[in-house]
Amino acid sequence: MEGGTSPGRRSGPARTSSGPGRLLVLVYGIFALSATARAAVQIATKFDEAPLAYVLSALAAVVYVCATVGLARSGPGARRLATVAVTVELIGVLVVGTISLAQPDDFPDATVWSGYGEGYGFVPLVLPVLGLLWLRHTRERA
Amino acid sequence: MIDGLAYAVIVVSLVVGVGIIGLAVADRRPLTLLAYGLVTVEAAALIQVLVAIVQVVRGERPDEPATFVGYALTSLLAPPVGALWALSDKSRWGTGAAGVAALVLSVLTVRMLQVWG
Repeated sequence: MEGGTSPGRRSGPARTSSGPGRLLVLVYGIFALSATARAAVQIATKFDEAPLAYVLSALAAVVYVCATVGLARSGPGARRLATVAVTVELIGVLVVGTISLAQPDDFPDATVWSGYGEGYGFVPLVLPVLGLLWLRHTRERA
Repeated sequence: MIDGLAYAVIVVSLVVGVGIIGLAVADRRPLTLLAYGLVTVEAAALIQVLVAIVQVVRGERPDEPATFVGYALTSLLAPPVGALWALSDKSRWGTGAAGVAALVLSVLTVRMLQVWG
C-alpha cells in the first residue's frame, strides 16, 4: 500500500493523512462542514422546535471537526484527538441511532446520527469504524 | 434555480467524479485530464450560482435563503479546495479523494434545488 514511511524520514507512526487517509480526511471534512452548517441553521432559526436534537447536531458537528483536524494533522496530540473524537462519534451514532428508533418522539427533527445515519446513506455509521481501523493501522505501521 | 441546468450540473459532477475515481482505481494520474475535469466542475458550479444571482436580482427568492447561500458558497469552494488538497497526496487514494470532492457538487446541487423551493 502507498503512503508508507519514506526512507529519509524518522521512524514512528505513519501519517494519518496520507494514502487512504487522504480519502478518509476528505470525507470527514465534508461531514464536519455539513454538520456544522446544519447545526448552525437549526439552532439559529428554530431551536425551540427540537432542542435536544439540535444540541446533538451541534455535538456531532464538534466531533466531526475534531476528527477531521486530528486525522489531518500529525503528531501524538493529533492522534489522541482523532482517537477520542472518532470513539465519541461511534458511541454517538450507536446511542442516538438507537434512541431515535426507540423513542422517535424525542427527535421531532433529524440529526446526522438519527436512525444510525440513514439520512446520509449510513456513512455516519461506517465512518467511525473505518476511522478507528485506520488509526490502528497507521499506529502499527511504525 | 433552473431545473434543467441543475440536472446538467449534477450530471457533469457525477461524470467527472466517477471518471476520476475510475482513474484512481486504474492507478493512473493524468494531471492535464484531471485539471480539465476539475475546471469543468468549477465552471458548472459558477454558472449555476451566477444564474441564481440573476434570478434573485429579478425578484425570485429561495424558500430558505440563508441555507441556500451557504450551499451556494460551499458549491464554489469545497470541490476545488478539496480536490487540490486531495491531489497533494500522490497516491491513488489522493486521486480518488479528488473524485469524491467533485461528487460533492452533485450532492450540494440536489440540496440547493430542495431549499430553493
